[in-house]
Amino acid sequence: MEFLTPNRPSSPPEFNAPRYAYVGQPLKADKQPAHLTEFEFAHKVIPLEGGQQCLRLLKSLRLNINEAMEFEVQDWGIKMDCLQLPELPRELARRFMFLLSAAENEQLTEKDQADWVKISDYIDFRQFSVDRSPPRYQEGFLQTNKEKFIVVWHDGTRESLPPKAARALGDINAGERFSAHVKLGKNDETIGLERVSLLGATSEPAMEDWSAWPTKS
Amino acid sequence: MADEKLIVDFWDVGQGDCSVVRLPDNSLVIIDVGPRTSPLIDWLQEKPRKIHSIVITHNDADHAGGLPALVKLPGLTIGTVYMLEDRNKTDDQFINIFRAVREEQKKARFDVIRLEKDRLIWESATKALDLIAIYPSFSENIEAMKPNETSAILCLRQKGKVGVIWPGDAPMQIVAEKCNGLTPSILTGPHHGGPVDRKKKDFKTWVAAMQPERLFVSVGTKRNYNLPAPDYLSQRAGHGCRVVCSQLTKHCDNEHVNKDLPVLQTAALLGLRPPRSGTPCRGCLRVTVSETEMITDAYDAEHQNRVEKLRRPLCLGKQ
Repeated sequence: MEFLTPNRPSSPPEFNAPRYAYVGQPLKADKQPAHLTEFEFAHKVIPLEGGQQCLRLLKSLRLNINEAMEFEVQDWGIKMDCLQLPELPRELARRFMFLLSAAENEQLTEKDQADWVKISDYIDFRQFSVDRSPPRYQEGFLQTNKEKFIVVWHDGTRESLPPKAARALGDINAGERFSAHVKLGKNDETIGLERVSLLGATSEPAMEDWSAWPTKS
Repeated sequence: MADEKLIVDFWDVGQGDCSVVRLPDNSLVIIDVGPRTSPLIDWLQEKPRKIHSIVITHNDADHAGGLPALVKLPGLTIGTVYMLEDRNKTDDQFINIFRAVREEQKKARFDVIRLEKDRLIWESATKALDLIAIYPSFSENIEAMKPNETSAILCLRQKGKVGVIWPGDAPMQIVAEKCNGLTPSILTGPHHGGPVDRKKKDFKTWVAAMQPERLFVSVGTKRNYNLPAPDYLSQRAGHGCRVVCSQLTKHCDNEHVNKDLPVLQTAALLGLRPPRSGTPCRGCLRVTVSETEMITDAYDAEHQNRVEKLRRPLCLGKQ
């Protein structure tokens, strides 16, 4: 039986031993905490330009509240009175727009640069840029318009257009070339077409004489 | 005369190439425009700028696909477009990419000139800085069997010393021959970090022939064509070269890629625009070039700190 109870205690426990231990003076914190409490700001979509655009956040904001009932947005360098909380999205938008503009104009101070690095970790800059970008000129060839609208773009990419975007090609016949201003979405897909023009049949551009092009000087 | 400075932005365009050199008069030289979906177009659309010249190293869609959108942008002045012949001009894709360029040239908006060896793209007033094509010559261009073999090699020189080399998609053998013994501050690619001849026997010798201080690779997270090539990056890192890729791959850190978490959003930090797909690692890189030195942007150290925390960054040789 010995091998079944290898960890048997050498002596029975002292059930009558005292149930407390002396630990010296009561423990006391050396420093006061930097803030009273902190909250997570639940909104992850910040409206810009009166709601025409928005800034999406990749992670939640932390609000640190102090004893004077002011809160500071962690990493954003924004400090406000708690009563002004409804104004926070506007302040976030203003901070973002200020820093982006300063970056574009190379006017960031050293502190701005440090703040901008932290703030950029919160923002979905790609989505912001996609939302903000206007449609761009592209040329394409409409391969088919039966059931699906399939386009071959000038770089050879073949794409099946979503119905909403395809509607703009209603006047183009299959086998025709066209130009359009194309709104691109996240992951490079077409989400809209406008200012469509007919470029003619596919064989037409080849009729031009390209032999002496480009010129030597 | 004051020391003239250039600002060179190496853009993150995903799988492709695009660099923008800002000249002292604020006009731009664009070296490759990136693919059809290039973020450069978004940036130029917001604030039209004066373009001194557009240089296309070769006519692949990931280097020249953004050209139609670029030349059709309203409010943009363009001086010259430099390009070379690297394929049959009756090729559909060639015609499709360059049709818009030719149309705008006919309206006398700009000249389109053949790019070849010794073509001086730009030179500073003091002649201390210049941008020049060192490859291919007319005969090398004609004799090339494949488009990548005739990809132009461009150099930005500071008082005769080569500061930046843009080899486009040129094979490493050609880069080694033309740039033998050079120690540029920055090399891009070639061929998005996976030179086309990387499986050849002498590849290591060709890599060793030129020792850049830094390698910048614009690459897409989706790893089309399996680029960048880990072995090439390791060899460069082994020679003491600092390797930076514009985007992460799953091999560097699966979690970041799956959650779409950028390592550093440098496009925002520099006031540029990001590509529409992929997970940024270094994103864009900016360097300021004077007659005597080359200074990288302020985000280098931050990026390095973050890269070291990744699971298996290819750039640090962790495979």
